[in-house]
Amino acid sequence: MGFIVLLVLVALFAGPLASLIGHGPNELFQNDMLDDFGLPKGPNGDFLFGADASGRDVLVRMIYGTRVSLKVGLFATLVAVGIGVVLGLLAGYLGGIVDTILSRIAEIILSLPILLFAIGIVTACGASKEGCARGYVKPGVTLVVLISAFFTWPVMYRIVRGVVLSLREREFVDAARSVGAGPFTIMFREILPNLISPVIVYASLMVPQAILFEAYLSFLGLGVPDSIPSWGRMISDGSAIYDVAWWLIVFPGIILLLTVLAFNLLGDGLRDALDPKSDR
Amino acid sequence: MSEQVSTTTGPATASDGGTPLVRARGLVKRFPITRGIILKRAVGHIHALQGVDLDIHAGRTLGVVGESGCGKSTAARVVARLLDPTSGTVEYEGRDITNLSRRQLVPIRRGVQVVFQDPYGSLNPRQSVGQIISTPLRVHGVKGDRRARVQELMEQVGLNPEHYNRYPHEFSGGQRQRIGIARALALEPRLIICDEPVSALDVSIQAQVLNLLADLQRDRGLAYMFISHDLGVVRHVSHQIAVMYLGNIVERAGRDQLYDAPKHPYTVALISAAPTGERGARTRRLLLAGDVPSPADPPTGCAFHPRCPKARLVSGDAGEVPERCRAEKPPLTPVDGAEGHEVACWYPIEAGDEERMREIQTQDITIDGHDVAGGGSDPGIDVQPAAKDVASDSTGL
Repeated sequence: MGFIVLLVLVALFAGPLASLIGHGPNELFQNDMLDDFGLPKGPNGDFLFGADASGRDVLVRMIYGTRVSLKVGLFATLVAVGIGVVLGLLAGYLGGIVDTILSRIAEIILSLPILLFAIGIVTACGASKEGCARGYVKPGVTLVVLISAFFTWPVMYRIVRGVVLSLREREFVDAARSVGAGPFTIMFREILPNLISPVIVYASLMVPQAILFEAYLSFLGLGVPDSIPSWGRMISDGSAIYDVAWWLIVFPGIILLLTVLAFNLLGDGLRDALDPKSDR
Repeated sequence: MSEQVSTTTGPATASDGGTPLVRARGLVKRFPITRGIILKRAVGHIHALQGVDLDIHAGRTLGVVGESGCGKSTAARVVARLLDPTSGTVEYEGRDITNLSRRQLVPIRRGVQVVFQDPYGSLNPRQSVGQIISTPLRVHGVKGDRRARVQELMEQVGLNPEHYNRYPHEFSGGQRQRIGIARALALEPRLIICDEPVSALDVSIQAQVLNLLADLQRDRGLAYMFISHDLGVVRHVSHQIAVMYLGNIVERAGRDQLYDAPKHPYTVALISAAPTGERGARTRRLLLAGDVPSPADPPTGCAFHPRCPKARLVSGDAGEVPERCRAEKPPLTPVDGAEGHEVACWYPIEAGDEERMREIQTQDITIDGHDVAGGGSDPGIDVQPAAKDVASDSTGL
């Protein structure tokens, strides 16, 4: 929990932090940090995490990379959860044709090879400067968010639908019906609050997935543009010369690992905190 | 039992005439048994209700008893319009409400509320007590200070109004059932359908909740449709009682008439199976052979005939059943000389039948004094599910 707060603070105050260190994220220190063979130098007092192949400060770039990772993780999850919960409620409670149609769509999306499609979409949208969809979608964070959300909402949809199927047989739903409540009142006032724990738990697992997804795409050079530092991109760039510059992949790798771990733990904590039966 | 139960007010006669508050006629409910995932084919039906008539009169209690699976809860849900009947009609205050849409039903729901069996499942665990009890007020757009109204209701059902913001899990079973009752009362209904409201509660708590229901009936002139498998409870609360077996009403009478002079062999067996609660009492139970048949494949003719001791008495052979019982379903017909008493049996019980039926199937059961709760001579309510698996029930409780 504390680690995530720290990450958020780092992301928010990336600028001041960088100026505190004294290096910009895209600033090149070729004279100081590249040796005679043009290879980067490792960690020292001034550059705590060393420099990359272009002589840029790895620490500062990691600080800026936090922004991308958190943005993608958060928004991709929010979009996916929003779609998944609403459609899952509709399918689970109304059933019938609504359920059949939505479930088939979800199954089709889940059966698509995500990475292959993502690469295709990103390549198509990144082919020209204008992007695709009349220029509304351009390569970058937004596109990664949309692709990630598009491929992950069926996961949330299935979970919500399953929980709703069991919840709607509970007597409190009958009680609401006997009072005269309509389907939407029942779905959103009676059932939705009972979905909080499973949704929180699975959303917390979707955040690191989205973060990793961005890292994969960036690793393949398809995520965010090179000018925006991203952990996946850094690992990708570093992997070319990891045998001489281990710090290029170790530090971004560790931060990625810790972030994913922290969000998984956060889910557990939130579930406990949100359960009205727990004393905490 | 720590608390004596006050007696329901009013005479326990069958009917007080006039138009009933609710009149149900010929209710049939079948649930399809489906097979297949994509193409759901109905491979059979559960016959939950097979033509049930019910009258519920204002200010009075209709008790409905029967073993589990006999369709009594389905009947309650159909009358409450939570389930659509396959056929038959439900009238409320003389108006047919069988085919009303959900929106059209909203005003009717003001008059008919439900108290559910499970005090854990019937309250939304994510809502505070205040939210739960105010739900009917909100849905019906009742103006005014809802919080004050909810707290008034909480006080009326014996809850501390300061617990307004607590959640259901912080309450005991009895208190939860009071919350359910408060919710049912919120719209000032004329009828409350109680679907086994005390079955999940401890005996002492049962008495408290039953007293609360009795007090509310006296003060507000409420009508109840009271579903239970517990003959003792039903006897205590009801003015009129309907006995159900496999989706049919087999007997209907005023309370005292039913217990004093049961006419249907099934009723006789049910009453004989209920523990009397008297210390050291020797009861000779009339045991029924076999299990309840599957409602997916109900017997022909009289649904009770495969287990009926009287039928065997009539045929004079323990293995034989009269042709009429197997072939024709007996209609509910008035009993001579007893107003409001109806029985669906071709060979209703006559004097001395009970003894002779016992001779066919009998077992002596002594209820040991220490096995009977409390041990008072007027038990008020009995504890156990009556009539279910009497054979294994040699200790009485």
